[in-house]
Amino acid sequence: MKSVLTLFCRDFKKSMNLRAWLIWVSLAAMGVFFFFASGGKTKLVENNEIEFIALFLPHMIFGSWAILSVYFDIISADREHNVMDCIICSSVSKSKIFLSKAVVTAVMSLLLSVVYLIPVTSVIIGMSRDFSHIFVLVQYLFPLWGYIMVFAALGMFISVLARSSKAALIWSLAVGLLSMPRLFVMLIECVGKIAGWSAETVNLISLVAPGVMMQALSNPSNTSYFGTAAIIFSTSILLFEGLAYTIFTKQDELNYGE
Amino acid sequence: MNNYVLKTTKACKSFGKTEILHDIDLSIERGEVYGLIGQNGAGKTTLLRLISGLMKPTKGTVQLNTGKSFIGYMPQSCRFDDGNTAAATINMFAKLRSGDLKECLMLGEKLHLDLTKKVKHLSPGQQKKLQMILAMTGNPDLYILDEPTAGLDPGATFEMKSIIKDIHKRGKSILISSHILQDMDEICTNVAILERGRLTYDNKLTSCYVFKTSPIAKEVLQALDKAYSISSDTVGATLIVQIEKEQVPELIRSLNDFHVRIYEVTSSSVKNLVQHELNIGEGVKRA
Repeated sequence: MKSVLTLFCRDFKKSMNLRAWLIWVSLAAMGVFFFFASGGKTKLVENNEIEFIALFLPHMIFGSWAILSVYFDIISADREHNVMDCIICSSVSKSKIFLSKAVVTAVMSLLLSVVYLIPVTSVIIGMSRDFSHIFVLVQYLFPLWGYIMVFAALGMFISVLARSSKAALIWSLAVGLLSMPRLFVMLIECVGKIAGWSAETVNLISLVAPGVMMQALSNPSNTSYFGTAAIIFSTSILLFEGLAYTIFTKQDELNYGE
Repeated sequence: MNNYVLKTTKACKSFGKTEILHDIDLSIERGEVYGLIGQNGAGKTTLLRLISGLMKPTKGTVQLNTGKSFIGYMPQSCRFDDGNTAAATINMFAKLRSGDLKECLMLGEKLHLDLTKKVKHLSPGQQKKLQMILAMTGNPDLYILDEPTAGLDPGATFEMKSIIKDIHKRGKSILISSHILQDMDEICTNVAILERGRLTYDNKLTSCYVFKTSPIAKEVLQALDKAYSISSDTVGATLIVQIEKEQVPELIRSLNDFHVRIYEVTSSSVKNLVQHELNIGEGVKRA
């Protein structure tokens, strides 16, 4: 486990790069902006309520890209720079390498959730002067973490499959566009209409979009949707991580060069 | 006890339907420095990666018989984390290999590598030195070096060769791939030539000799070729013969019997060997 810890420290430091910080600080700033622009402030002042969409609108639009931008090269960059070869030849198994990367995605995703939620929560507390709104952070932290983890696992999967960072970036852009919640829901509705699905079926399938899933997870009172969303969330993370692990351990390390 | 550190048995590697390596049988013993030579696309890097465990053979086996679980691998090019210093990079690999950090840092100082510099600020020569230090971390028994002197200036090349010779002196085994044949001459004890994925030559470097002679008739060459593996230039005045040292006097006698004048006999260089095996350069053809 010593080697996993060594690799974790290295990978975590590498993930905390300027690119990730710039994107996520911008996203957090957008979160504050959209809170004011999308009527979140009005709802808070008038009814002391916090609307989900007002908090996470930037995520519904740019979230998938913002997350994938952190993880799309988590494995491919090491391969391209031949660092992976040197690590493997240091008698570190691919399973350990993957484990360290998976732990990094989990820790980093939690950190990114906090980075996103702290500014908007501070604004809410500042405006309402009600410290009980600190629970906003708690209520949404884990759904947001899970939401980020789904894309993080997808990012790892893309990074393994695409092998090169350039290809991984293109795939990430495409996947990010497709999984944009509104577009995804529209696609499902369209298919549903053609296939004659019921509204409930369309809603359930729409839960596959991580943004919609996060909304369902933020509302535990709706037990049915919450349960389905929790299952789909966990399954998605396990599926992407599992696929990425299987492919990664079976792949040959080609000569990528610089 | 087996004396080999590396043994491949009928190792093959294919990508889809394209077979890159065919039935590679290679055995490297302790203390040997093997030079792997071949034209571009011959499969050298693929073979090195197969041996390093970075690829799995499609058929056949690759066996390592080293005391340590890791090897000293130096890829053609490598870019470590830009933001880290050379010392931090060495520290990480020392931890992975449970190597002596102090020893590695001392080696860095000996090689005039500024350990406080960030990796992105190191020159290509210094980057290679860093790669070499990382390969040496933990003192492995087998080194696999892919073009260790490529792109280096003469000073850095000289230093790199000194390091490799130093590793050899410590009884370690090394497999080097390089296009710089002069370097191979200086460093290697054995040479293997890879031609279109097949190992066409695998022998000790000293078991090949070059004879500078008076022109030799074709019939004479053909007669000699029955007893020895001979290559000659177009006029038959340069012979490259694969023989052991003890056989040299015997061949000299045979040449004298055919009234051939011998001007010079030298142990063959890698360059001659490559010309002989790959049928390239300066008109040297197989007899």
